[in-house]
Amino acid sequence: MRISAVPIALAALASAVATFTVAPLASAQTTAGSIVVTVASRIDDIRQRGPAGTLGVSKQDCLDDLTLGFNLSITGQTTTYDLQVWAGEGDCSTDANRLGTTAICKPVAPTSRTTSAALSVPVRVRDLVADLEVKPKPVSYSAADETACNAQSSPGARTLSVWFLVMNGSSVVASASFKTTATGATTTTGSSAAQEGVVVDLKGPPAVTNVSASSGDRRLRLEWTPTGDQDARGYVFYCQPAASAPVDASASSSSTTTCDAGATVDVDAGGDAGDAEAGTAASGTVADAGCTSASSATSTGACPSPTIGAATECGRVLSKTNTGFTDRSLTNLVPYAVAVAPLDAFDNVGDPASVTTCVAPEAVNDFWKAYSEAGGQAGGFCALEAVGLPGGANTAVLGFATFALTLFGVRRRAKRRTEKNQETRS
Amino acid sequence: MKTRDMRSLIAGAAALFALVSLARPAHAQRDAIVEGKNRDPHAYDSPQRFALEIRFGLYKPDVDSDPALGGKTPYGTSFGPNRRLMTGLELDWQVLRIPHVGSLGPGIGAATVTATRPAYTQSGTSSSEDMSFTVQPLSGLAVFRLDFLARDAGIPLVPYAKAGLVYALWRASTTAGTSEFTRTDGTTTKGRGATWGYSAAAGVALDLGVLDQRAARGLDQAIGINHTYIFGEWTLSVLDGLLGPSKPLRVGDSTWNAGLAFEF
Repeated sequence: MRISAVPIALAALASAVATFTVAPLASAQTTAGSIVVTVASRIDDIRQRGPAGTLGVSKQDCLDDLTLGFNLSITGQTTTYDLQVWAGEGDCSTDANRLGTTAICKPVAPTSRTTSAALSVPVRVRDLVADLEVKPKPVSYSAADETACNAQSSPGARTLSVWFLVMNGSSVVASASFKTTATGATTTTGSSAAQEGVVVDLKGPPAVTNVSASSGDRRLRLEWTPTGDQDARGYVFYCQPAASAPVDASASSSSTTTCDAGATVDVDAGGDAGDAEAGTAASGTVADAGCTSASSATSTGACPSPTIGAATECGRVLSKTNTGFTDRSLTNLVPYAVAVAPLDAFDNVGDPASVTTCVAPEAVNDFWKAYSEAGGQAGGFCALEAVGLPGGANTAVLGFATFALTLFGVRRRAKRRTEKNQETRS
Repeated sequence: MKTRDMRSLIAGAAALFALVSLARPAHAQRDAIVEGKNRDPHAYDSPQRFALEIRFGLYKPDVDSDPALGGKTPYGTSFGPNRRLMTGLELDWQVLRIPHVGSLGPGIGAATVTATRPAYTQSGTSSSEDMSFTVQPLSGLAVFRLDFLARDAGIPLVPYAKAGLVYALWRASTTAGTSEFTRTDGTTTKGRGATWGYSAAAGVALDLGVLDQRAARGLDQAIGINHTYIFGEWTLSVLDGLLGPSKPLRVGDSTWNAGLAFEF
């Protein structure tokens, strides 16, 4: 999204300010007063991530090639100057952190030569996150490409300070870093509660283990062993009919998913990665009517991994649980390849882990079916629509208890009045 | 009608008339006590008008007794032979006090019981879905408490009896929601509804004040609870469509209940 397209409300939410005052320049080009660099606001579509007030970028933001915008105002500087934007995990206003073998900051935007006292500075997310693990950092700017989005080597959020430097040659004459408030909603100046810089998290949590699935009606129940990673805040499920799931080219042998009734899905490990096997069985419909006992049917062979993407996402849970249901959108009796991937606070999806056995959802036999098939004729009685819901009982008992307590309170007050009257009489 | 029966009827009516004539609203009796015309040992008790019961029991709806099922036992097959815990509340209004006998008045009650078990897939394997059956009887009762033993004889037992109408809501469901069944004629019935019936109960309550009379009196003076009981009760619920529908789901039971009761 381009800066001009960003809603004003979002800009207000993301507003921030920081000031830094320096002594006047020694040269004649400066004014008599001090030079003040103010990051008045940030205009971009950077998203709220994680806890309230945490503003940052995720891998998806990087892949989307988002651009952050910072509005600056420069006072006290009346002549042409160079504006540089640096970012790093430290104070980028010091030469030691920008230059030489100990550099922890890098330029994240081209140098601007300007006389303007108010300007908007765009910073691409890709430029911001590139060379995240590189030490020392490069000292010159070069535009980063998509590969920068894979720069992070281990899960977890990193905070990059963003510094705006007014330069006179190679000397910093004024600087300011970007800060946001704890809520991200109001501006502040040098507040200790402020978030320094931009929080970056490009890598999802590590994969879970021991993924298993069991049948439900048009859905599957998944269980897994979490890795215990604190970065995880939920899990995403991916489902794909086993016949159309891609084959792992690295597998050394073919795997077979077999249905009891004879419907067979052959998956050739030697086939093209990412494509379903073009053979008859794999390309055919696995919803074979004969595959009536799919969950047990598929237990005899390995199961391919599903394609990971929005098209195959079949549910998610936003808690640190170890179990969950897929959406009720699957087709009964179709064996599915299923995977679970952890999700972090920045919505980064971690490495997926697949079930080893394909499982098919299947309709269930419940009490009502058993009753009706046995000849029972009840049901569909037009009582209140809410009647019979489990919540109805709770509401009824709660209401009942409330009524009883109210009555008790009224009685208690009445008794006190009676006692008072007795005392008055006596 | 035989003469003997007629005499019995007249005698009974006379006794009932005498009983009701003696009965006075609780506040009238209280006034007499307040004015000091009665050396009632309960003279310093606060007025008593209501009873609240918190009750628990084991319940198994007699769905399988429906003749339409031809001896099949869909409930037992689905949920097994065990009864499930029923919890409930009942509020009684002791509108009439019959001196040296007891109290009589209406009461309302609500309870809920749910049986849950994992469902099976159609191929017979264990499913990840649960199936449930919930019954919620709502009752309107007449309650008679024979508390003269506790009030006049110092025996802390209160026998009581109840009878009334019950409207039982029920719902069959799976994890996905209310169950549905499509018959061969294409009609679909939802697994929810209600069944009318009646219930009768008899029980006995033990006044816990006997354990610590000072504490009981303090409870009365502090928050107005006259008596606290622990009770046991046998309840017969015949929920087979007394007032409709024509093809009811039988959800009654004959079972024991126990709980705590507070008179205030």
